[in-house]
Amino acid sequence: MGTLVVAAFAVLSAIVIGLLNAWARAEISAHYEPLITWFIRTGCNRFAEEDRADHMAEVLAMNSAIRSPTRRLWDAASFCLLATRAARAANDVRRSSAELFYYETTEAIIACIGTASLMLGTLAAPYLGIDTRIGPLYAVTWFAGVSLVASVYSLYRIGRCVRVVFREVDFD
Amino acid sequence: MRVLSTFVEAGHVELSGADISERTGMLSGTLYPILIRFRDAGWLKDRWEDDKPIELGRPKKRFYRLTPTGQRAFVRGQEKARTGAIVWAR
Repeated sequence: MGTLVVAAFAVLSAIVIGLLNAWARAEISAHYEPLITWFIRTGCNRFAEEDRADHMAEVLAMNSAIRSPTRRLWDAASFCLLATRAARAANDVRRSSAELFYYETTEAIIACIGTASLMLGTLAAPYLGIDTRIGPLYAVTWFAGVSLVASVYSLYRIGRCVRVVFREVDFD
Repeated sequence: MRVLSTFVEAGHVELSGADISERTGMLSGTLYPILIRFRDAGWLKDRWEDDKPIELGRPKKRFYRLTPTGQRAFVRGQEKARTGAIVWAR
């Protein structure tokens, strides 16, 4: 009898959770629409005023073709974030290689300094009198993890610098 | 290359931004600047849908078609990629 009650309770709770989930998704999706329009409008504001309507119509058409509301929201947000790039392309404004190189080098140096300080911090922590008694393993794991992520990011930034330099070289 | 190859794979038909986005899996934030640059470079030719949005019940689409210049750029890009791959393998 007890097993039967537990099984019935499990089935009932699964149904209730399923219904709640569907309701929550419908509720949230309903609020996506104005947010999507806002993201796209904000993004399109970066374009020249005379072409703005065309860009807005096209991006809305692209966005409305996506079936999943969450993916639509994500798509609109990405457009809003990357609209500067699109506007730059539309106005045919390209950064010069020198400007791009300085920009990329600065980013790479900052990333490298961050990485080095994290790594040195990890290595020097015991010598600097930092109390690691509460969880040395935790501290080491945390710092080593962050250092690793920072290293990968630094390499990525250095790679971008190299790419800018190589952009100027014609290998043909 | 992914965008250009989409047109070649589709058989040189007209594709809307939404179609390209779906086929390449790119988000509009990434795809849109590429389309603008390709259009300006003359690799793609565009035209707006003729029907009105009220009749369609959705925003008007802009269709793109690969031009002969775009086709040449695609072939050139493929050759470069192939050569690069061989150099890398050595």
